[in-house]
Amino acid sequence: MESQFKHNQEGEERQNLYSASSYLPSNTGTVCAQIHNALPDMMENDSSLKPEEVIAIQAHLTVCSSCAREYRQMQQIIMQLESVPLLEPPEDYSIQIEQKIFQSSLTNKVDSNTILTQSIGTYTAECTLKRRDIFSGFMLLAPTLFLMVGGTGFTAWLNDFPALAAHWSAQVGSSLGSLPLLGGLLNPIFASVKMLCNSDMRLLSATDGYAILGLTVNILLAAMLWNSLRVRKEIIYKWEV
Amino acid sequence: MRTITLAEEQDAELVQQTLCGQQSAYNLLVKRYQRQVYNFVYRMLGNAEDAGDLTQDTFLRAYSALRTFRQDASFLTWLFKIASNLCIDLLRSRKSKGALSLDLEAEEGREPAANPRTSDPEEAAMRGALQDIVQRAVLNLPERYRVVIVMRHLQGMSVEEIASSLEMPAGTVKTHLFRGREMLRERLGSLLEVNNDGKPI
Repeated sequence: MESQFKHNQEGEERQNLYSASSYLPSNTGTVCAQIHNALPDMMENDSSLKPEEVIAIQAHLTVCSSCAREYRQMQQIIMQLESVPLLEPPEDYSIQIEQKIFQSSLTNKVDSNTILTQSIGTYTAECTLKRRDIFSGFMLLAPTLFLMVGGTGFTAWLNDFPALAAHWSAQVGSSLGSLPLLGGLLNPIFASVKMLCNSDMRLLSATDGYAILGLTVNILLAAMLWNSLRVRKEIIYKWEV
Repeated sequence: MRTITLAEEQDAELVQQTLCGQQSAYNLLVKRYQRQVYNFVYRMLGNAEDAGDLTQDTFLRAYSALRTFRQDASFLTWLFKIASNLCIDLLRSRKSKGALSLDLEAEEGREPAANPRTSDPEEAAMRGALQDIVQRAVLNLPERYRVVIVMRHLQGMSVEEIASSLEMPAGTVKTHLFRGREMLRERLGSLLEVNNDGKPI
């Protein structure tokens, strides 16, 4: 804190400040600095300045236009700040806060495979734990397809590329062909790849291709099964007004 | 020893009821203080959307930490402590993302009439414009000065309450207040003089 008014070691300067001659213009150099340092306390008006200090400052302000200007501007700033009106919040947040608190209290408590009904405040909730829809396993379709295409392609690369790529594209094309929409789009692409590579037909034994396909189908089925074993929370909120 | 007001006693009672499982008691606390928290956050951030989100976050944090609330400060002071931490975190993350903090929104229709005392529309408009400039200048202050200026002059908190809320000595609060006002004076000084010489502000 810069103000020397509260510091005992600077008592001498403080004496100067409210001695009779201190606020005369001839002394203003050092006094102005002291006044500047005392203004935070003066502004607060919280009795941290002694009455004689306040009188001394006020006396100085009457004769020193520079300090008086600083003090006046400070007061104007405060006046401006304090006249800024309070805004009305755009909505009553208590409803949203109550809902969020309620929701978090539920998610903390519901951990078993049961149907739970709970009331907090104005809310009642029915929380049902449900098995996931088996088809949500299709969420894992993208990584499975990647494995299938990548794995088969990699095997082809390791062997004789052109002939195997033709076989690979035929395999993948036909397996993707069963997919709705996407299959219709992708199938011609793989068919053209097959046509392109068909000049040198040395086919991978059919069993290799089917083994890889079988593996990916198994992965897909396992993923669907795993996903279907997970439970899903379904919370219904009822707000009683 | 801090004197405890009637409102603070009621708050303490509501806190106790909330801790005993009466959700409606906390609802009352939210209703009681959401306006002040919203205004504080809004003046800190200058953005209504963030202010709404942070107001909710403040009450949610307060709820989860309600057991740690002691009556050595008022509930509102404690809320301001949480809100100021959230604001400073957000301002820092904004700064690190390089976002501007000068996005004080036009609050047409939401801002109450500038001052009911002024009947002259020209004067009211001038006052409104000046207030807008002052608010923008506050938003441009460094965070440590902005927070004390907003708490002291826009929320009407005492230096002791601010010190308690920000966990800093009262002397530091006063210094920050003074430096903040100094900065505002440097930026707005000429404007204030014009107003002073011309029409009364």
